[in-house]
Amino acid sequence: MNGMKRSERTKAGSRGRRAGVLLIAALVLGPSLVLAGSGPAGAGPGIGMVCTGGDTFDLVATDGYISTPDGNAIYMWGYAPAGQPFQMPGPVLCVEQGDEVTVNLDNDLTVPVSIVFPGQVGVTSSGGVPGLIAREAPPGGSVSYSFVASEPGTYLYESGTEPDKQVQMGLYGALVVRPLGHPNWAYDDPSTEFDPALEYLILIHDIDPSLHVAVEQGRAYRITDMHDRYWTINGRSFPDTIAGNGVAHLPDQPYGALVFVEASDSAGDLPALIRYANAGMVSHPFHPHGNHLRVIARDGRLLVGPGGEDLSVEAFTKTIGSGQTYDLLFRWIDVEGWSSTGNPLPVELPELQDLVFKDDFTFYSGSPYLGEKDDLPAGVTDFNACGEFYFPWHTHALNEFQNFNEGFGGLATVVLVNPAGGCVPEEEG
Amino acid sequence: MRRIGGRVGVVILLAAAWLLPAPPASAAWFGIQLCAKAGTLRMPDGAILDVWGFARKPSTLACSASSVRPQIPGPPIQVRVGDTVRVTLFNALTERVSIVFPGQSLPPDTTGVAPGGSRVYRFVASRPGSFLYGPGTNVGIQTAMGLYGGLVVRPTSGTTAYGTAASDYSVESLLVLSEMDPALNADPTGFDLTRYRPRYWLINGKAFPETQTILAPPGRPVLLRYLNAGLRTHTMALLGMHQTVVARDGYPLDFPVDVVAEGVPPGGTVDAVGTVPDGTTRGIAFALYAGELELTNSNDFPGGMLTFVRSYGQTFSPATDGMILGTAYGAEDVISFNGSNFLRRTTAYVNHSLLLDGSDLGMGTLNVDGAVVVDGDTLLLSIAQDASLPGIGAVDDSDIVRFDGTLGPSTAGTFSMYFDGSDVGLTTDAEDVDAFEVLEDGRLLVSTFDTAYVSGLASASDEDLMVFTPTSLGPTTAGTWAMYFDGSDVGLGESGNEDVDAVSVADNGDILLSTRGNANVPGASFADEDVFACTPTSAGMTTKCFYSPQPVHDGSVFGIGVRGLDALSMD
Repeated sequence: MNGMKRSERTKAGSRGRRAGVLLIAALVLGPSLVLAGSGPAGAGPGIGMVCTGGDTFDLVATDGYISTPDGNAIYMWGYAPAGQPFQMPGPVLCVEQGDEVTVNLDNDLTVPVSIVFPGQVGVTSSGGVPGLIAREAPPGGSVSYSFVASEPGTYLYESGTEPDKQVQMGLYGALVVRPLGHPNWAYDDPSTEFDPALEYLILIHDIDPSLHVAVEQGRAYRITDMHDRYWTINGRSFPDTIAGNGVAHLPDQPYGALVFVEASDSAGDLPALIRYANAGMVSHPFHPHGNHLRVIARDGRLLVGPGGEDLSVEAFTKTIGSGQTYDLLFRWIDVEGWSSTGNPLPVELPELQDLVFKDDFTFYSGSPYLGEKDDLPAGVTDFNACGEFYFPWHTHALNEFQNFNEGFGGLATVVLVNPAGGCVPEEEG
Repeated sequence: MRRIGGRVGVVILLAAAWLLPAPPASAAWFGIQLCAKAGTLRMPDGAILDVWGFARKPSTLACSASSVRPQIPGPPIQVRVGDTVRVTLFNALTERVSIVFPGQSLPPDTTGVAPGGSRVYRFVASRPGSFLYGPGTNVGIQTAMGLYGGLVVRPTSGTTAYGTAASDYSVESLLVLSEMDPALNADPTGFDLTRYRPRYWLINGKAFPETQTILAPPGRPVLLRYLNAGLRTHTMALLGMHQTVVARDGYPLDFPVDVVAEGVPPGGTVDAVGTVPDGTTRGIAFALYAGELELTNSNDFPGGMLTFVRSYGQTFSPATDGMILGTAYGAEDVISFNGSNFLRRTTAYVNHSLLLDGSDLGMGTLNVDGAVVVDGDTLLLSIAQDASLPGIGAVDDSDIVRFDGTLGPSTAGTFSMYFDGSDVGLTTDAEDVDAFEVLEDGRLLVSTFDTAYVSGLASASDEDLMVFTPTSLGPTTAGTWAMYFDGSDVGLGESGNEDVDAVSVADNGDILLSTRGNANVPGASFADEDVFACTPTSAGMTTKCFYSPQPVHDGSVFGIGVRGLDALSMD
């Protein structure tokens, strides 16, 4: 970050300020979240995947802007729920296996648009006009799509019209199909049961802002010169990814990507479900620090053999290819049980005067033990509530861990691990 | 023979299949001579790139012969497990070149031969799979310039890719993926590879809309052999159907995995099987594309790494009554066939059923000599005789009638007049319409039993196709005539046997033909039950086209054989 030229940014902004403001905002939410014990999925503000339920969805292709943490505003096209403002990405369509799903698309843009549903079979369409890959809604017009969501899983929906432009511009979203009768399973298999309060979507996208400027200004769209500068999860770049759903300062980017779990004492606790989806134009190697996740499905198909063999794998880095989805289960099991009283780490902890915290604030509790807090150097602000752990989850293509060359940013979020039994902030303890 | 636009893959693969030993095979030799040679490649937007490619070299010619043309990708090598492959490389470039065969037991040649030199590579293809061959010298530049091709090794017997149930297939498609950066092609010796930035994305050396459609009958497995000869990963996706990954780099997976999109890394191969859902209407197309959305030619959409798997059926009418594949059919019947494999001439997957049972409609004594399938309950037909049909009354052999109703083994419906030939100059017995097609723009292609005289043309012979632009159709037919395909310009017509008696036009513009008797054309000969293709480069009064060296459909595979084929609709 040092030595970065002002001219390298498309919009001036005080370096670091936005990041600091956002972190503080996030952490103001943080303690309240850990107090609650878990974020309610489906309600905002809060954390977790936000569902738009039903079997008939009315969407509008429209335009707007998203904010980036370095102070930029990027012109985007997106699917908005009818009657609601522009949002990035489109709403998460949550349906039940067997539903006959209808998606009606109106077009507020000045070019034809459409939707394709990778992974769905037998999609029919009506209205609109024929297109190369899908039936399209002309400018000001509409088109409808219909299909039976016969297989549970995580899927993408995105534009089938000039996708190299329209998907880059933001016409994408996620579709979730829940197994019939088992909304708390990921697939039609009891081993895929998850804690419904711990359901998370990591929907990835990549942005070349100069292409968006070209569309905004009606200039030539040179896709072969694509040079990404921003990367998003659920439409936001880190650290905006760790702000809650529906935060006021990101009105057009309603979905956060903070992952929250509580440490388990045993494998009996239900895991969190993480749904990965890549709507971007390049593959992204994504990994959680300090943890493995169990990959249970790909592209809406459970990893199980013909004889019922369990083909799920524990994975650290998962490369999510363009257009792919994965489903993963995540438990944080305290296998070592380190504690300062009964089971201390067999190493000398550093002295306070040897600790340095960038910009004088930290998420660290001062203690390496889950659930414990300890002293920090004078002058360092500690945003840790009760000794919870924070791990970055991010792309290991580190050029993508940036907001236009300013790190840390881009394709990253954080997982917050609460002590087992919940968070009791020290001030009240 | 010269490359044909869009059909390189099928044409060359057919030729190579002809070179295979007859199954079941004991280990055999397969030899090929390849020139590494400079050439050009034209992109759909008109850009012409300098390329280096492998050219098939006949033993009688030198690499310098103008008919020895490099192709992108190079000629596919197809052998069976246990075969000894002998590739002789001739270097017609101005730098050293070699070939390496990843996955084969052969030490890689990274030194190559000097310009003008040659080298023999010999190996035993010891395991089945999909493999690439490419350069071992100056690898980045030479690969990017186009020096690559596919190697397919099949099991010694059976109809699978790996001897596994999961790798069983009816239709097979080779998809060699690659990119082109024009700045590199313009300056291969000086180009800085760190600046590689492709502008074109290719499947089998072609960019959409010139990519080849994969025709697949519903319900039958389609093997997609993805070979990534490029420098970028391509995550190949299918819309409307999953594909099952059965192997990577020629190693079959113990547990195949169903995916929407699978990443094929540079130098890697992936075998996946997709199935068009049963019951899919003919003509429905499923997009197959790079998930990276590399869908432009330079910056113009549509283009790039996009093709379609198309639900497909073939409809024939035999010329005579008799048995086909154990079932009795009449010349008045229209038969629907599913399943054909361009690469293997086997009846293993041919399913056939009645689309129109002529005797249900009282046509038992008649001969349907032309047919077009319009949709699931509509056919257009021409009949070789004058007849009386329910709903119309008298029709003659120059008419085309429309049938609406229930198709299938219990046919019922009504006829109406679609094209009244006598309204537009087809009045004599010689002017019996014995082949016709309806083009996408609504014009009709018509061929007659013998010479036809209509206004606008001096005459049209039985081997020609006239094109009729209608101003009205039905009982009052009106319109204008022109010449579409002059058969004698392209070697048809020397005998009455070469009367075109069935025609259909494919999506990519290929004219699919069958003749009354055996046909001998430049570079090929066909039997009367065969369907062959002529890819046009110019049409009308001066027709030029290139023939498929093998039939597109070998009538004997379909059991038509002595029955002959006199009506064709491919859709």
